[in-house]
Amino acid sequence: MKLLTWMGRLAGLACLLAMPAVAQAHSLDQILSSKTLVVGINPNLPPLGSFNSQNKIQGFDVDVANKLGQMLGVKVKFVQVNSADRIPFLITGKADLMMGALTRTPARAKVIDFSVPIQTEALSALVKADSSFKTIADLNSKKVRLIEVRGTTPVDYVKKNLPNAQVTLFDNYPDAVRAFEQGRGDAIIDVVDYLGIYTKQYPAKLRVMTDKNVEVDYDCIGLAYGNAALKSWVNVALYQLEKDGFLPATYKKWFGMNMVYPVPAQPYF
Amino acid sequence: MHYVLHYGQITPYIPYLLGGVLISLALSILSFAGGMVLGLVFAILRNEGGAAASRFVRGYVAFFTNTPQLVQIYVIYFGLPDFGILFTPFMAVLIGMTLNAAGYLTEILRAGLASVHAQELDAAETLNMSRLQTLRHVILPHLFRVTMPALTNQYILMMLGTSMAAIFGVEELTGRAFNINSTTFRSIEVFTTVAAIYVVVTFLATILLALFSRWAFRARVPVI
Repeated sequence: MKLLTWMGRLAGLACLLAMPAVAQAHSLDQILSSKTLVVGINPNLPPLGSFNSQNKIQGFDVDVANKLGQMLGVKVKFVQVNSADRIPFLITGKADLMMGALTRTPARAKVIDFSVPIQTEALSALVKADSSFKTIADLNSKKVRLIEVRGTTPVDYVKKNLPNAQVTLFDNYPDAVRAFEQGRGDAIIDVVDYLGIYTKQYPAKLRVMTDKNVEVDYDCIGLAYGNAALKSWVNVALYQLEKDGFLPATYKKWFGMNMVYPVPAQPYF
Repeated sequence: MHYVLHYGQITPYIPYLLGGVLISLALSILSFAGGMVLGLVFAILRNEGGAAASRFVRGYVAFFTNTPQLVQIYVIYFGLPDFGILFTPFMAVLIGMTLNAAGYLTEILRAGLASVHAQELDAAETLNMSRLQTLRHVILPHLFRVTMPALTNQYILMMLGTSMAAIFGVEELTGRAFNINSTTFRSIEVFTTVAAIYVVVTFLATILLALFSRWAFRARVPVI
């Protein structure tokens, strides 16, 4: 009987030892003293993050994170995340900053903090530069042929806002963009920013039409809830980077175009 | 696994899917007809034409039966526009399927031509039939009678092959299934429904073709 009790205690001790330490998000002080900033990057989300031919992660998020690390004077360590990991990784302290097109929402703001926006995602229309369309509403005509990718949100937008247009659906973005460039359609409605990596392979001059009533998603850098000093530092740094042109230039470098719904430099936060 | 099947969510789309069947049928019937005409010309050229014509036909058949149909349509759909030739999605797929079908049908019809008995040709000559008359009254009836099962097979394969058109934005049966799947996410229900529709269509096609070949060529083929 006594032996059993002891075995129970031993098992309990083993469980305690095996339990992972409850990770805490690093404060600004801890980051400065440990000289490491841990940043979450999604490596399957080009042009924000992807693996290059040397199997290293590269992209817009990587450049921004490295710049922040350089400004802080610390080394940047990347952790790979997928979309569903982003918030749990912040909560459990596996990352100090979270990138990967993290959209600001009230539900998420209950559990994590957000920096000022660094990127927007919203639908716009890509047309040839010499076409006669002036607004997105001009596309709502029986003569207009739209090209969309099957199963994406713009398909619903088109059904609701441009019901008269003819729509041809493709299964992937490279095919859709190629069909558009070859003249099989007059416009693509999408988050046009993400099409820049495909359209830059073609010579045609293009133009983007925005819709002022469209819902704009603001993507921010995520931080652990209440990590106040780090958050204000990141906001100050992002103001600086927006103002001195680093963020717009880096965006253009990776996306192949300017941000369709640009983020202004934010001096107040 | 606790997946509950909800075919009820698919039933409103049945008319939409049947509309897709019409496009699939149009594609397969038109390309089969086009392929038959080309194939017959090629088969005759291969047997009766000169050395150059025969070599051309052999090259054509080798090329179109040894490359995937998908790749052939890709070339027509995405390759030719770079040379300024732009077909609508339907036309591009139709042309691709026709050229592909011509390759296979040439071989089937050539086998049929080869099976015409020499005595029948001698008899035609004895009756002083012209070459065209021989073709019309002796060779072709025999040809279709012999090759009907293989031709039916080829048609069924082509009917099923129309599903490739979905990739090029033609909204035939499979393309419409993709569309429904992308809005309802009921993959099992959508694709099993579509599979059932394909089975019914090909089954009906087999029966109709068998009845037709019994009536037109007195071919001894079972109906079911």
